[in-house]
Amino acid sequence: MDEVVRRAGDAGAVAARVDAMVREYQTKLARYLRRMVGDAEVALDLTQDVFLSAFRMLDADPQRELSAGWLYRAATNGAISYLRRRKIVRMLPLDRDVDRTAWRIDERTAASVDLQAALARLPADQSAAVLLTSYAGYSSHEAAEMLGTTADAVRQRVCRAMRVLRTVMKESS
Amino acid sequence: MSQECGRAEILAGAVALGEATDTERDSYRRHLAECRRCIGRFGGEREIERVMRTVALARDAETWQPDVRGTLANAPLLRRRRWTAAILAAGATLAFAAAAFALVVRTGSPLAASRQVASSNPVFRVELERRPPVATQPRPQTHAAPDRGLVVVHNVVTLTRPVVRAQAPVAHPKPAAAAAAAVATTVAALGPSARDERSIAAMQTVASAPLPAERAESMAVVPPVVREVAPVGGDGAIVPHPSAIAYDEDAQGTTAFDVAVDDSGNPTKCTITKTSGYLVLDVAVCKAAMRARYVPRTVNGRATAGVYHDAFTFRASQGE
Repeated sequence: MDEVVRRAGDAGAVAARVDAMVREYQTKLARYLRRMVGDAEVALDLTQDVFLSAFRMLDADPQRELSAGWLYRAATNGAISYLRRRKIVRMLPLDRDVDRTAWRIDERTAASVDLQAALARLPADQSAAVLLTSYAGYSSHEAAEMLGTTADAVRQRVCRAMRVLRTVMKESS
Repeated sequence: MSQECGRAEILAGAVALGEATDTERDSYRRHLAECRRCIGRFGGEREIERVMRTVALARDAETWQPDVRGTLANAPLLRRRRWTAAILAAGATLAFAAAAFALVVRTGSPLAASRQVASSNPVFRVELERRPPVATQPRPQTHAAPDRGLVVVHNVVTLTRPVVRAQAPVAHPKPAAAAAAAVATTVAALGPSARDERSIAAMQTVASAPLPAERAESMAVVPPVVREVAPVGGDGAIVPHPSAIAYDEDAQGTTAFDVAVDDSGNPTKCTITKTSGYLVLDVAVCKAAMRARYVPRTVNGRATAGVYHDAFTFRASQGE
């Protein structure tokens, strides 16, 4: 009987923790993922997947600490997997009919359009580096930890992403 | 890239993130003073900060406030339902396959069964419809030249018989008048068909016709700066490679085509606006056009979707 009560208490605590995480990070993660994949609906799906993974992880081990870094790492991996899949699907001609122009007003600012155009040309690792640092506000060391690489590698990726962004800005001006 | 330039790339990244120390900034400045190539590639500190400000502006302009909690609450249940539906569907498929197998074993084949029914039941009659075989050879088509004018740069591809490879297209200068003149010269030398003459006339009309007065006036009031779609690498970037049958058939003619290009410069659709009469040539042109990358159309500096118009003339020659 004590075991059942303890488990019920654990489940309640896990749900409360995940709920708190969702409240705090859902907007940040969804915006980050939307920039990564370039599609709001897909970004929402991937955000849900991240929180579901967090829920399962905490359900299995309620004592485990889940940081923001873990959430961003899971989000980045999800986005990269999605982009890989999309790359394969893109070889089919029907994918060309997808409407990519259904953007909201705030996404149509010059800065937003330039950034999205640059991100569309970048490899996923460079997109992740520039978004985790300049967009999400993490340092190169924190981003390196999330991406499983070094701070210098993150700086190098940011520099390469910046060059593409510069080219895009030149083309649009 | 030398080791110093590699280091400068990392330093530029640190400057971009605002993480560079004074020593690192000095080191970066010293390198830029000596390396003209890195100035062009990375830019100075102000340039880097200006570019990176774009990211901050885009971030600050965001107003999207998604709420995933409602859908998240139903997600595990939905997934269970999806699995249940998948298992039921698989079971139904297996049951159907087993039933079909049993039928085939009992009666030989479904076709044989239908023949038996037809022969035994006088009410039903099975008629076999025979259709002529589909022609495999590409047949010349007689499409009329399109009514609308084309702003066309004419490329000429010569198909030489023994050499099973098309020569690179001869790119002509872009202005439509020059292109049309080149077309007229080339096609006249070949002895053009009536169809080609009509299309050439249309091109020349477009090149030389003055703008309507009201349109010219409206453009004078608000002159939009428009840059049309162009292939990356210039006119020579699109190189069609017709398959061997084109050489066997002595295929020749002019294929005009339109390529729809999205705002990222990716081709999305190729349309043949004037056929050469040989499918194999038209297909080769469209394949080459869809392989190329394009600089998107811009209106006042903003990339938009656009259409690239072009044409190729194929000539057959006997070669040496």
